[in-house]
Amino acid sequence: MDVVQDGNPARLRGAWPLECCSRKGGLAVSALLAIVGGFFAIDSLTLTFGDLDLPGPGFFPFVLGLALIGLSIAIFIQTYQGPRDAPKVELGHSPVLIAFIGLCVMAGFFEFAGALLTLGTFTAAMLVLIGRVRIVPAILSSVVAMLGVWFAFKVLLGVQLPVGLLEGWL
Amino acid sequence: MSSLDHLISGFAVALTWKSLLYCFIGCFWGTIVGVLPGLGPLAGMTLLLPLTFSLDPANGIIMLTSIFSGAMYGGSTTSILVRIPGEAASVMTCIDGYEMARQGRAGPALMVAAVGSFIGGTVSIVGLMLVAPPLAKLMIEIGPSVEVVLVLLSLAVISFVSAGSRIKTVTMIVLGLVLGTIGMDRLTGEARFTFGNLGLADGLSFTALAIGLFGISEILLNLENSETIKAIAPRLRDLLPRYSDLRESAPAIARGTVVGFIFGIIPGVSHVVSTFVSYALEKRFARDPSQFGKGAIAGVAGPETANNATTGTAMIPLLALGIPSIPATAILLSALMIHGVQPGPLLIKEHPDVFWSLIAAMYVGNVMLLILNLPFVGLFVNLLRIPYAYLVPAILVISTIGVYSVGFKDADIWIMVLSGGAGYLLRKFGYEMAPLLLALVLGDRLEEKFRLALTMSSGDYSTFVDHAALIVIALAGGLLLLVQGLAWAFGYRKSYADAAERA
Repeated sequence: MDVVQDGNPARLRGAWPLECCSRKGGLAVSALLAIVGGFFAIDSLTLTFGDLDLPGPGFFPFVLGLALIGLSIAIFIQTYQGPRDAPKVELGHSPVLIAFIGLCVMAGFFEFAGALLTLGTFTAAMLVLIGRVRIVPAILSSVVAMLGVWFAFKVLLGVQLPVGLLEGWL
Repeated sequence: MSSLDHLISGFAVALTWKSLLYCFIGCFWGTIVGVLPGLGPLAGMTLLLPLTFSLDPANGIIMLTSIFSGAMYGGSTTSILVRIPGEAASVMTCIDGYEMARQGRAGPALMVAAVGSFIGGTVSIVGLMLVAPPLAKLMIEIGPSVEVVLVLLSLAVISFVSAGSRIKTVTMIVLGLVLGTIGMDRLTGEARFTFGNLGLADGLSFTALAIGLFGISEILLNLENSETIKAIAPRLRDLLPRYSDLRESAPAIARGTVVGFIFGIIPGVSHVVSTFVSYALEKRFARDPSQFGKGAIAGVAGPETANNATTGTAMIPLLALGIPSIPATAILLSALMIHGVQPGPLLIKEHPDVFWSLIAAMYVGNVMLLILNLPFVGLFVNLLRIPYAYLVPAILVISTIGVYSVGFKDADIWIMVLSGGAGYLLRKFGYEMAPLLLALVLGDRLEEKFRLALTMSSGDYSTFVDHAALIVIALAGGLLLLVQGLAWAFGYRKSYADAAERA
């Protein structure tokens, strides 16, 4: 038996985790859920409601929306009555924020710029910003990865990925 | 054709080179996701789900089921060698498995876990083979009202056996049901909450939501972790257990098989609960309970066997009733439906090829996993050397392409990203994602059958408590009480939470 040192996950700098009281956060989440419930309950009034004997398309969402509001209020009250010195919850560690923002940007440009360009840029950015890989190796890795993606998905599996800005090149 | 004939024809499909290849890919990938902390069977299945779309239904389902089984096997490796459960059901294995590894006995722990998993898995497939066809036949006889009762009971059981806050679990169930109403109403064709967007007419993409809520949120949560991992690497020659190990683990494997078999049918977190109950049972049956927590081999054999024994029986509600009992089978349900196969009572009758080749492939997969896991344990442990930050872009790229390839809509990528963010936030504040996903899958059916039953009975609500329904209620209610009784008797909630905390 020997003990080996492993490097997973990579040492990631958590420069900006926002410290949030779990009580306040819990209250905010329950309020958000109540708003979601409210939206469904109100919007379902524009649908055919039917009646109790023969419910229409609006019946279920209305009842469920009301139930969601009720449950959210119950959680809100429960959380509010809970201990005031509740433990802190850390939100928004820098790698988490980078990954999430990267995903949003990627989703926004996916069809316009094309899958390979978007995903390649995303991969390189993630390697540099989260993996702390130097820029040149990161770009080379992402180019190789995208060639693999093209071969595996387009050639082998026949998935029609958007070509976007690379139209005419591919 | 008798069941045996069907099984033989199932093996004829499962043993073709193509099916064997997909089974191997599934087992291999499943073991990898089971080994890698933070990537459980669900994330593993959702990530490869889109790749199965280009396959025929039988091979697609074979691959996904192999991932599920593989992840259950793989989870034990990190529990024993690193003390990090690769997935939730391996938490109990950490306690004695890691202690054994520290004492230089990682090999026997891994061996017993693999053999126990094989036995538990195989017995549960036999159970699936014997129970599912007659149950499906029975289900064909009953009407939509009983289906409503069954779905409601499944959701009730999920909320009962959940380890977290019950009110939060119920809230997630309701949220799942309400999200399930988005899209065209199945009975009248009226658009609901689509805002004129045709992309939403078919409802929210299940694949996008599943990958977002489980895969993406899991990755975001793992990115917070900055600890390095120390693994104990065993040598192949250390794998063989001693005679005393075999003597102690054999009854534990037998008991674990029975526990896993029973708990596998119950909706919710059956595979997790079964490991806890099995561990508690072994402690009670042990000659020297004080050894538990200090490297008792029965503490590894029992839970690992129970964990894998649930995989086969968890398929019974899905294949016979069309009701997924755990999130992993919800992914299978989605995959079957994408392939044009409706799971439920008619599956065995209308698509016997899919059902029996799946059964045969599960047997083959179990043998494959046993062969894969023992000699290649070093290889899988070495996977932990890859920095997680390098894996993240790869996983996210596969997820994105996978989600896009289902409907070729960039709106689905947005759904994946946003549900990933929402899942991350909700999980931070103690909300579980599994009930939401199960409710989302079941919601459509619940509403459709509820309204259909009322239409058929001219609005008479007593249709939900007719004779057949009452039998189902009595059976399911009894089962619920049994689970609750067992769970509370063994102090499931508190002790499991403590064990998870320690692990």
